[in-house]
Formats: sequence, structure tokens, C-alpha cells
Amino acid sequence: MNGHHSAIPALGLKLGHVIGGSLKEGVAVKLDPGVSVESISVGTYVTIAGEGRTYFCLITNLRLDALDTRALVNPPDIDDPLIRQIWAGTGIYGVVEVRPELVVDPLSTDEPRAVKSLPGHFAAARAATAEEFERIFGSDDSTHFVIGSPIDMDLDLCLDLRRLAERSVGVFGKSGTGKSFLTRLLLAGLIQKQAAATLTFDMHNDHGYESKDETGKVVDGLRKLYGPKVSILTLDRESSYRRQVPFDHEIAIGYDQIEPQDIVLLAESLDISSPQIDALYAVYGKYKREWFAKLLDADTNEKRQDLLSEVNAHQQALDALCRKLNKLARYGFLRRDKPADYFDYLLTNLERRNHIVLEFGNYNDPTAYVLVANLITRRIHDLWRRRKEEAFGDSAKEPPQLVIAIEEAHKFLSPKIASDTIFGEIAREMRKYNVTLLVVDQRPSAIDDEVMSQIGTRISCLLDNEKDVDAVLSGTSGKSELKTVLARLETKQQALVIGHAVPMPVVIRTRDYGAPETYRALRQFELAATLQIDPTAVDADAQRAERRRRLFGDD
Amino acid sequence: MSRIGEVLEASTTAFRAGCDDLHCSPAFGSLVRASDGTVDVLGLVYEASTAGVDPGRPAIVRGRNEPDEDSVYRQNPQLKQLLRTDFRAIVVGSANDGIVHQRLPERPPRIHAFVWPAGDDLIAQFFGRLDYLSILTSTAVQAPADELIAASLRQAAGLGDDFLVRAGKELVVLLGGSPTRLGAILRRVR
Repeated sequence: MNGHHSAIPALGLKLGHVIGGSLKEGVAVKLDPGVSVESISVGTYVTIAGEGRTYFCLITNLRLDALDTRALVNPPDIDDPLIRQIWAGTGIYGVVEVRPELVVDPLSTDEPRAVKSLPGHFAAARAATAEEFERIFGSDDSTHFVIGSPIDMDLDLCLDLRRLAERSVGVFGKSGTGKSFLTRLLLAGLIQKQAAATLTFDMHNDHGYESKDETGKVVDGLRKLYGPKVSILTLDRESSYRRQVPFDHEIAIGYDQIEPQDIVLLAESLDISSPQIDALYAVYGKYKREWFAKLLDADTNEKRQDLLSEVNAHQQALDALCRKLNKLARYGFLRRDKPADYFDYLLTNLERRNHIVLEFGNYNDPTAYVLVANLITRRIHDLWRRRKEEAFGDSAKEPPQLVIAIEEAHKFLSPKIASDTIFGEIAREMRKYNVTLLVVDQRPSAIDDEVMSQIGTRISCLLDNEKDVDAVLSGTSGKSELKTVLARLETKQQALVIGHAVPMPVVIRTRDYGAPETYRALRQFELAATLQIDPTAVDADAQRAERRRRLFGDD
Repeated sequence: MSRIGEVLEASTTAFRAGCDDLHCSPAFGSLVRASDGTVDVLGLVYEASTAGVDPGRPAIVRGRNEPDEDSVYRQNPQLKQLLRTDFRAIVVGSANDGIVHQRLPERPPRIHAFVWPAGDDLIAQFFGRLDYLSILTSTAVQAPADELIAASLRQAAGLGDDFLVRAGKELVVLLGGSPTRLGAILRRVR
């Protein structure tokens, strides 16, 4: 085929006509003679004009067909341009398999509906137009955010961020496929469109101030884009200084703020056995908030003997527990003396619909990450839950929508521990309390099935492990067709989006995050909104004090 | 445009005509017309023959002592009466007041209807459609169908490559995807 024939079909170009299919398996469209099968990509869209309605369809497969298989055994001389032209589209032809996703009535402005019927034989199929895309996916407005463009098409494709934030979101893809940029783009969208407050547990210090892309180019983080709407908190002040990253506060955690369940969650990474956990609870039962300090202090046999005399625990278990917990002492952000409580700063900001990036500095090992993220999130969970309950009586107390972003999500949400962590609970039921998760992971198959089923919007870059692909697509209709699409993604900047935030599955080419025009567009921000004063924050100091009392028992 | 002969035998699917002049049959595959009294029946010439008029008196050798072929006829002027040239055409449509149909007409041409070659306009109009190909590929008339298809397309080759592509596509479908047969036809066209 010559270059002209292989060019991507123009928007609206007639591609062919329906020759068969079923609602279950999708519709087959025979390509017109002038349309090269090479020009069509899996994951792009066609519309099929039925008699009274238009079907919006996703291309899920392509195949070659022949009128008569004898021609394949004894092929025509297609090196001859005339012969090739004659055979193309008649004796030999391309078939596009499409999945009708939505149906619209071209004469009305009603919302697109789910497909319950099929276009008839010989209905014409065309490459979808910009207007059709806009009608389905919406256009850049107060709730719709441009995430990229449909592949092979030069037009904006939007996500409905309101719907995105309403349920948990998963960003998946094997390493190096652009999950991190995609995540930042989503966060930027949530901030720009004020769809939710966000809290990002930034394990690799990527999202806050600036980071480098794979070519070494410095790209702006959320703080650089949105200024004071975004606070950077750090667990590792020294690392922030070295990286010359401004931060608003250093976060430290007092020993008394650690609860048994925070450690139970780390049982696997710290190799804590269940008798040791029993010992832990025994110490907790006796000393309550001082339990962690007591265990760390018991660093000699003598002290442990003393401790043993106070609590009912097995000696070996207690010894081992103390030894293992001592590994945590190296974390500089854990403090024996009561540190200034910046949880409060964090919670207040989130309640005011501001945004927080928590940098881990050099403490970017999974143990620290899980410990801190779980600890902080538990407090958020408690507060939001209470606020939501209060809001039943007084709607002004409705807590804002909050999205919590976590990386390496399978460490929190694996089947073993999902039921113990606060994240498992948030994924399962916090939607009702206005908190949802943005989970970023390269191993979706390691995430608990039940949690996975609660992830409303799934955005998946290329995955090559069969199990991971299955996990991402679990519970979606047309799984086997989408599998073909997912397996054909390019390694960079392409993703399949399915679920709550899009009316139908869509393959996108992600927006170029580092490009100047993207920054310009992302910075466009309604000034009025940034100055918006939260009415609940008028007597913020008093409220803060009260909350502190209730949450932490501080004075 | 001068007449080429008149119809001597006619049926719905084919007719035989005698040529006005000996050895002056229309070309194989050419489009000719003959009236049925109301409309012109269109045919494609698929066979021509020259033989003695009287089956009991076949042609015999006469040129042994002649210096060239022409002098055979000069020395035997009766030959023009004793010999005749006929041709056969397969019916592929009809034309009436400039409207061409590619289908078998209601009636065959009348005996002694004059046969005319198709003019350029009629050729252009006729080959604007390709339904006649299906008449040729499915006819019961004992005609060399593939050769006739190639010859008819040759006649219309002036219509350009687009025409050939269109005709080729039609044939791909009609010939059930047999590339060998199609290839052979197309080689004969070019």
C-alpha cells in the first residue's frame, strides 16, 4: 500500500459497512476498497449510522478476509498495481471488529445511552468526528479535564473529574510506562478543576516541586504549578534541603501516635509473627499510648525482664518483637518527644480543599511508606467519617471530596492485609464518606479482588503480565476484546481508560506533561476559586483546637 | 455509420446475422445493435464465419494458377454470391431513446432487421454499467465467455484505468475469487 492509503483515516471518513455481528461479540465492518486495513488501529473509534440512531463503537480487532479461500492458495499478482487495486476490497478485504458501546439519537440532545441493540446489515461506519467525541466525552469545562487525545486523532479527550473523584481510581502499568506522569496529570486536573482536595504520599519525591523525566529534563511539580494551593510536607528535612525543595512543614510522628494496627500492617515486612503480635497487644493493653516507647526502650535483657513482669506475654516473643521494632528507630521522623503536631495543619488544609504532597525524602522504603501513609490516613478517615455523620444533621459540615494518592498500592491492598489497613476500608466503603483513593501500581494482580472491584475508574498503561491484565479488566464487560486493546498499547504515553469517569472505554495518548503549552493550560485557574473562603474555616483556630482534643487527646 | 448486415436467425439470448459484404464481419467482442421493431437489441459479437451459401457446395481450391489471392476473386466473380460471411452476437441488453438496459430484452430482434455497429456514444453509455458481465459469465450460449469478456473490455479500454478497476472488481465477485481466471482475462485486456 502506498503512503496515501496507509494514512490515518480523516475524521468522519466512511470506512465501510456492517456485514455481521452480535451484541455479545460485537459488530464486523467490512472496509471499503479505498480504506487500507493498515491505516486502522485497535483502540480507535467508529460511529455506525443505524436507521434512527448512531452507535459509538470501539475497534477491538482487525482481520483479513477473502471472498474465496482459493484466492489465498493461488494469490493474484498483487505486485501489479492494477491487479492490486482490483482485488483490494473485493476478493481480499479487511474486516474491523467493533464493540458498540453507546448509542445516541442524532436528532436529540439526550445523553448517550448504553447499547441494547445492533446496527443492521450494511449500515455505514465512519471514523468518529470531533463533535461526536465531544458529545460522548464532554469538552474542557468546569468538570471535564483534558487527559490526552484518542489515539490516532488530534483532538482533546476529557475525563469527568467529578465522577473520577467520586470513586477510587487505579493507575496501572508496568514500570516505565508513564504511570507517574499520568498520576501527576490527574492530580493537576483535580486541583485545577477543584474536583477534590488531594493528599499525595509521594514516595519518590516526584510530584511536589519538580522532578526529572527520563531524558533528564526538569518538569514542574504541583507546587510549582499551583503555588500556595499545594503544600509540600516532608518527612526528611535534610533530603529536602539537599534537593533544594521548599517545603511548608516537616512532619514528625510521636511514638505515642503509633497504634498497634500500624505495626500489625508491617508484620510481613518486619517479619513479626502472630505470637509477637499477641505480645504487642499485651504491652498496649497495659501502657496504652506509651506502648511503642516502652518496647523501644526495652533494649536490654534487664529492661525486658521488667517489662515482662508487668505484662502477660511470652518471653521469646517479646524479645523478638523488641528486636524487630528497633529497626524502626532509625527513622528520623519517629520521635520520642512529642513533636509539633502537623497532622493538624494537614487536616485543616485538606478540609479547606487545599492539596498536600507528602515527600518521603530518603525514607522511601516500603516499610516507612506503609507506616506513615496508614497512620495519617487513619486520622483522615476518622475525621471525615465524623464530619460526614455530623453533616447528616448539618449539611454545612459536609466534608470535601478527598482523593488520597498512594504508590505501590499492592503493599497496602494485598489480599493478606487489605482487611487490616485503613486503605482497604477506604477502598471498600469510604466513598460514602467522600474519601477515595488514587492507587498507583504496577502489579494490579497483587491487589485484593474485593478492593479492585471497588475501583471505579481504571487507567491502565501497558501491562505484559497476563494476571495483571486480567485483574485490571476484572468485572468489565467485553473483557476479552479489551484485552486485545490493552495488550497492544504502546510502551509510552498510551493508556486504556475504563470505568466511572468515562462513558465508554477509551485508549488515550496522554497529554505531554512537560510541554510549555500543557503548563500554560494547567495553570489556568479561576482566581476567584483560589481565594474562596471556606465558611467552616472562619473560626478555624477554635475548631482546630477542638479537633485536636478530640482526635489526639492533646491539650 | 454504415450498416453491417441483417439478422438471419434470432432468439432471446443470441442472434445470427449475415454480413453485407464478404469477409466484412464486425470485430470479435464489438457491440452491435439490431431493432426488434421498437427498441434496439444490443449484442456482443462472439463468432464470425465464412462458408459456402449452399451446404452441398462447399468452397474448393481455386488459386493454384493465380499469382495472388485477389486474382482468385477477380477470375471467379460468382464467389461473392456463393460465399457468405455470418456472425453471431450474444444479447446483452437493449437501447431505447438513449436509455440503455443491460438485461435480456423483451423480444429478440426481427429477422432482416439491419445490424449496425454501436457508435461512440452508445459504447460510452453501455460500458457505464457492468451488469452485462454477469450475463456473459452465466449465459447458456456456447460462446468463449472469458475471451469475449476480455474483448469487450478492450473495446472500452479507452474509458481509462478506472473502468478496468471497476470491471475487475465486478469480475472478482462474479468469478468467485478465482485469481487464475481473472488474471487470464485481465492479461488479455492489456
